[in-house]
Amino acid sequence: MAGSRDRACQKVRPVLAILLLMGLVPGPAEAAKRSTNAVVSEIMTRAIEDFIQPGYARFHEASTKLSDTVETLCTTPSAKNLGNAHAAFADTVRTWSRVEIIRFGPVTGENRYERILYYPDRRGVGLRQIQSLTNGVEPYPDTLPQLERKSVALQGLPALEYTLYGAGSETLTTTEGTKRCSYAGLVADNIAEIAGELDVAWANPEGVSRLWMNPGSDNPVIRDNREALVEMLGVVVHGIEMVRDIRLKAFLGETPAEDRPNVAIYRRAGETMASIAANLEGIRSLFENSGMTLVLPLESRETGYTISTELDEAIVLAQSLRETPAELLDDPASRAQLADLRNRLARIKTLANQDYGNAVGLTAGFSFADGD
Amino acid sequence: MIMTRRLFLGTATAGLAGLSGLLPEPALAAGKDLYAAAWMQNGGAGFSILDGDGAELITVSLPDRGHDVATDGTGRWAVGFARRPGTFAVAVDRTRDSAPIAFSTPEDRHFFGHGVFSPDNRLLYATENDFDNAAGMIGIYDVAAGFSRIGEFPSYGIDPHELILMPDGKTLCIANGGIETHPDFGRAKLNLASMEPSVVFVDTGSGELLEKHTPPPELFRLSTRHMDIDAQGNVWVGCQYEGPETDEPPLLLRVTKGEGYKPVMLPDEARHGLANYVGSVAANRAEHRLVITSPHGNCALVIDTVSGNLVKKIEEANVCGAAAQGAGFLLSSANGDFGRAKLGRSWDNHIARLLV
Repeated sequence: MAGSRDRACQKVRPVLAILLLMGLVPGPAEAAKRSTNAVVSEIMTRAIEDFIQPGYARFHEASTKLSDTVETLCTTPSAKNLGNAHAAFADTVRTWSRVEIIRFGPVTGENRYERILYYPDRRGVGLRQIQSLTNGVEPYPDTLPQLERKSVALQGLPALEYTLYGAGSETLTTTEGTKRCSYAGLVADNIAEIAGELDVAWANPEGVSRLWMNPGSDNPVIRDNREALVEMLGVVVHGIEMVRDIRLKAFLGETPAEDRPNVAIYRRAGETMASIAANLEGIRSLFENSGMTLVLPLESRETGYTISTELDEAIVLAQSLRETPAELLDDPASRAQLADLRNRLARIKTLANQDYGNAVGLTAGFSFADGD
Repeated sequence: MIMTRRLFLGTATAGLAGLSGLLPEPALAAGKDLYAAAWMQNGGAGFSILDGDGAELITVSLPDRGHDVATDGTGRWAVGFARRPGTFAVAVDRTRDSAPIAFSTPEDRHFFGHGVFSPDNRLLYATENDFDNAAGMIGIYDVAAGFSRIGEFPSYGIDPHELILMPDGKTLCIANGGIETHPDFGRAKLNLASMEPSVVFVDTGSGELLEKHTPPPELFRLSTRHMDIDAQGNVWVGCQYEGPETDEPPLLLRVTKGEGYKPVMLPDEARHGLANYVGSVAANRAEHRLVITSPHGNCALVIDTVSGNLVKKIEEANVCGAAAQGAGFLLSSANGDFGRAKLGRSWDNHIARLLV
C-alpha cells in the first residue's frame, strides 16, 4: 500500500532532516551503533508528545464526559439519556483502546490498568461479582472510596458495560434503576479519576515524561538509548500479541466448535471489533509518530515500511467487521476474515519481533528476553 | 577432537514420536565439568551438553523453545524442559548411545520449564500448571519407567517456577511466581492486580506443605522465580517485579527454612542495574558466592553468601545463564556467549551443571 509508505516517510522526514544536518544518517556500521542517542531520544520524545500525552488526554476527556452523561441519566432516567450514556461509553472504550497498549509508567501503579480494564475474566469471577450487585445479593457501594476497596472487576469498563447493557439495564430508563444507576455513576467517576491521574502524570514536564525522554546512567527507569528503543519495540510486539492472543483468540477458536463469542470483550456494547481496531490504530500511531523506522539501517528500512503497511491493512480489515462476535462467527465468510486478521497479526508480530529486533541489534529477537 | 553427538526428535511436534538420527558416540571429556543449556538458533530449538570451554558434546533438537535442563546426581540424565506453556520434555542418557526419551504433561497441565531429580535419581519432579484451576502442581515422573508420570502434589501457590531439593533430600523448596497464566491466552499475565507469590517448603514423601512464606502486602507484585542454595542451607531467591518501573523493590531474598525470608540489600547502583528483573540465580557453594543475572539490565552481580555483600558487577549484553565453574561462574547470553566461547546460538535463561 503506497499510501501508508508515503505517510510513514512523511512522519520520519523531519527527523531525517535533523539527522542529515547532524551527519547522523546511519551508514553501514554495526546495527546497534546506528541507534544513535539523538535518534532514539527523538523517538521517545515523539512517542510521548505525539502519542502518549494526547492519548491519555483524549481518554481523560472522554471518560469525564461519560461520567457527566451517566450522572444526567441518573438524574433524569430516559431511553434517550441511556442512549447518550451508551454513546459516551463507546467513545471512552475507543479512546482507552488506543492508549491501553502503553503498559509502562503510572498505569502500572496502584492497579490502575486492571481497575480500568479487568479482562479476560477467564473464570467469570468478575461477572459473578457484578451480578451479585445487580441481583441484590450484595449491596452496591455508596461512595468512591467504598468502590475503590472492592475487587478491580467491579471498578472499570467491563463492570460499567454490564451495568449499562447487561440484563436489567432497561431499568435505567426509569426510577426503578436508581441504585444501579448510582453504581454506574461511581464506576464512571472512578474511570475518569484514574484517567485524570494518567493524563496529569504524563503531562507534567518534570514528571514521568522527563524520565522517559532522557535516558541516562542516573535515570532509574531508562539508562541508555538501547533500553528506550527496546521499550518502544516492546509496546509494538506486546500490543500485537495482546490483540491477537487476548482479544481475538479469546473468542475465535481454531475450529468453529471452539469459538466462544460470549467471552469477547465489550460484546454487550457491540464494541468488540471497534476496540480491536482502536488497539491496532494505537500501535500504528505509536510506531509511525515516533518514527521507529528511522533507527533502522538503510538496508532494513523496508521492514519498517512493511510493518506500517501490514498495520494499515489489519486496521482496515478490523474496521470492516462491524457485526457482533456471534454474528461474525456464524457466517463462514466473516469468520474466515477473522482468521485472516489473526494470521496478519502473527505476521506483524514476526516482523516487529524478529526482523525489526534483529535490525536494531537484538540478535535473538525482542521476545527472547521476555520474562520467565 | 571432540565429536558432537546430535540427537533429533524427528516428528516431535506430532506427539513427540519418531526419535531418530544418532551420530557416533562422542569422546566425552573425562574429568571435566559438563554443563547443559537450552538454545534457539535460526528459528530452531534444542539443548546441548557442553564442556566448560563451550565445546558441544551432545546436541538435542527440541520441537519448540526450551528453558532449563534438569540433571541427575550421577551425570547420566539430562532433561530439557519446554518453556511455558509448552508441554514437552526430552531426556537424554549421556552414558548410552540411545535415542532420547520424549515425554509430556497430561492434557490439562503444562510445564514451567524447571525440574529436579530425587536424591536416589529414581524420580523427577517438575513444576507444572493446572491451568483450568489456576493451581501450581509438582508432577512426579518415574525415570526407570521411561519418565512416565506417576503422580503429582500441589505447589501450594500459583505459577511454580524453579524448585530445588534441600540438603535433607526429602524437602522441596519451590518458588511460586504468583502469576496466573492460561494457554488459551498465550503468555499473558492474567492476575497482576492480585498476584500471590510465595516460597514454600514441601515434603516430597507426603506432598504436604511444611512452610509457606509470602511477601508483605506492598510487595504483592514481586514474583519469586529463581533460586539456589548456599553452603549453609539458605535459599537465595531472585525476583521479577511486575509493578511500576520507578519502584525499588528488593530483587533478592534469602530464605532460611524455619525462619522465613529476608530481603538482601544491594547498593542502589547495582539494584538499578537489574532493571527489576532477575533471570537466573546460581551458587558456588565452595567459594561462598552467588551470582544473579539480568538480561534486561545486561549485568550479573556476584554476592558473598556469608556477608550478603556485593562482590562485583559484571556487565555483559543479554547475560542470563549462570552456573558455578571453578572458583567463579560460567555465564551465557542470548548473544551467543557461553563463557569465553562464542557460539551461534541464543542461550536460554539457565545453565545446568552435570555432576560427573
